[in-house]
Amino acid sequence: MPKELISGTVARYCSKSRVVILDERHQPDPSCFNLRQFRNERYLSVYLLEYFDKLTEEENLNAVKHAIEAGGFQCKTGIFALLDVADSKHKFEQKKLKISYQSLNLPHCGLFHEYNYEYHEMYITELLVQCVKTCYSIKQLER
Amino acid sequence: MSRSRIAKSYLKQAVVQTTLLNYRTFHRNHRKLVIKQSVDKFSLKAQHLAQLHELDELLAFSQKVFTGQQQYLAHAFQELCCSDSEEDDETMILADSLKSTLLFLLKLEIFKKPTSIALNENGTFQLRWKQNDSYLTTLRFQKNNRLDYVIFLPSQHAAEPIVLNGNMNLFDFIEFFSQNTSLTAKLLRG
Repeated sequence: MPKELISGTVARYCSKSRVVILDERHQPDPSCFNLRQFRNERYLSVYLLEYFDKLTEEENLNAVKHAIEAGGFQCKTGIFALLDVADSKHKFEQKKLKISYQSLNLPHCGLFHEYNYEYHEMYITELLVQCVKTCYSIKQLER
Repeated sequence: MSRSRIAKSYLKQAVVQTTLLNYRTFHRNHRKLVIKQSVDKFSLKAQHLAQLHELDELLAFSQKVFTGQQQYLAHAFQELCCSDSEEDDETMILADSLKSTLLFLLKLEIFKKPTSIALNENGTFQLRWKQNDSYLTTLRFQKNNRLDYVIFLPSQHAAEPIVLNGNMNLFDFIEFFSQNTSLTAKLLRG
C-alpha cells in the first residue's frame, strides 16, 4: 500500500544528456522534473535516503545509485538533487499548490504533483528546482 | 582648443560640405539607416529560415548565423540533437521547435548567454535565463509557433516574485517583448 511521506530527504536523479548547462552553477535544470508523457508517468521517481541508514549523504546516494543501476539504468553523467520532503511540501502549500511523496517500493518513492496545462508544469518544475537543497554530481560520488 | 575638439569641428564641417545637410540632420538620418539595415538583415535571415524544414538544415543554419561569441549556441543545438541519451527511449526532435527557437534568438539579436538549453522528451527545446530565484525566464518552443513561458520578476510591493506563466503565439510574444524594451533588457539582455 502506498504511504505518504511526511518527512525525510529524497534524491532525484537528473540526467544531463538532454541539457546543455551554460553557467557554472551546479543546479539541476527544471526540465529534469518534467513528467514523461510518452510513458504516461503520473509521478517523478525519487529515492528515500533514510532507507539506507548510512552515516553520510554520499554513502546513502551511492546506495541509491546502486539501487537505480540494479534496475538496469546507468547513471553516467547526471546529478542527484536532494529535496527535503517537509520543506518542499510547505513551499508548495504557501503557493496554494500541492505535492505529495508516496512510498512505492522503498527506497523508490513517487513525487506527485498536479497540473492542468503543459505550461503550468513549467511553473511547478521551477518551484521544484527552488526546493533543491543540495546537489551531488556522479563524478563527486565516484571519488 | 583641444585636439579632439578641432577634429570634431573639422568633421562637422566636412559632413556639412559633403552631404549639404547640417550635422544634426545627417546623424539622425544615419541612425535611421543603421536601424533599417539591421531590420533588413533580420528579415533576410528570417526569410531563409522560413524555407528550412529539416533538422539537418536547421542545424547548419544555426552554425552559419551563430558565429563568434554566439558560437556556443550552435554547439549546444548540435550536442542536444546528435548526442546519445542516457534514457533508453528515442526522442523525436521537433524541427518546428528548433525553428521557432532560432527565429526568437535572431529577433532578439543581442541577448545574455542562457543558463541552460534543454531538449524535452516531447522533442521541444527549452531556453532558460536565470539570475536568481526571483529573476528568471524559461521559454519552451512548441510546434505551430506556440510558446510556453514562465517568468519570475521581483515585486516592488511584496516579498513573493511576480509570476507570469502561460502559452502564447511566438510572434505575439516577440511583439510584446519588443514593446517592453525595459523588460526585455532586464530579463534577457542584462
